[in-house]
Amino acid sequence: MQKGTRAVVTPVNVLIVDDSATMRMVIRRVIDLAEVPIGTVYEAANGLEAIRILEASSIQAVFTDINMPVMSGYDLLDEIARRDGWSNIIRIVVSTDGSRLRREEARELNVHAYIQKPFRPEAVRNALSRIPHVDLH
Amino acid sequence: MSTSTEADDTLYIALLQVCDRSFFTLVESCDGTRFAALVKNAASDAAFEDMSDAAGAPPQLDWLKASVAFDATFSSGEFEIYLPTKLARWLVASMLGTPGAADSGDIQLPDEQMFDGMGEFGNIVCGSWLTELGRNQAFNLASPHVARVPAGWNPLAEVTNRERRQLVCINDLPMRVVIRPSNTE
Repeated sequence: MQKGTRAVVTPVNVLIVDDSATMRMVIRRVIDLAEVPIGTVYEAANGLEAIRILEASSIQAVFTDINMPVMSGYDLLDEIARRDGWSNIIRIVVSTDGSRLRREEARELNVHAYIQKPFRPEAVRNALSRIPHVDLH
Repeated sequence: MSTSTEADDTLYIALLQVCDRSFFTLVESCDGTRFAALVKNAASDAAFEDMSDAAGAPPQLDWLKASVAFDATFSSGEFEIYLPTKLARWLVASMLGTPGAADSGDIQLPDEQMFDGMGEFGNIVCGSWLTELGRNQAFNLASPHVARVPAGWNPLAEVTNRERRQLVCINDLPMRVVIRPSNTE
């Protein structure tokens, strides 16, 4: 492929999991600005809602918070890791906790990127570039 | 546990970073005198805008409180942010990328969205502060709680020796941050 051009790609379906509706709106807006071909953006307020959406839809990338009521982000990531059919989903944590311990815990759950709040839009863009068939360069 | 000065410095840095990156605004530290002037000016503006106020009544500001309980190996307690609802609406509108509305001051934001946005604001500031203060030690945050402050509350009230207070100015409006360590510390 010629440098400076973008590959023909299939739109990416994204799931945003955060108990704050405001934060979900912010992440959705930043994803829209990332110039990645996005298909459908789904939203869930906790891990349990997210699992129901994952079971019913084809999702390529999940952005999830950690501290949430009903089911936490780590429980959600643990569930995704245990399901064979979900092994290709790109997992991105968006959390206020930027500690090394939390990042290591996320790595053990096969998380592809860890974004600490507050974040700049480039952090989301870089995370999206980890989806195998998305080339942002 | 870090020193009080270090805790104050890291809190101010956390406020700066959060407001810069997610709310696209600047934060200025201010002393008690300037904070009192900001409160007075904001209350006068609010009284001027609300002509239904009874004549002669002292001007009152409508305040919001966002609190987050935190628990870490190095510290635990309650993190509280107090700010006028006018500033809360402005911050949430700014976070959501509606600068036109934010700049004009005419912000039509449902209370539910303002409460949710300020809970997230408290969550992010508290998390950033703890990340910086704890030097990579993990912590837990409870779900934020946001409520209107009852009328008659004094934004200039002093805090106890154990508590930390930070007074700042955002967009010419006052914000007060208080950290209340748990009784076990």
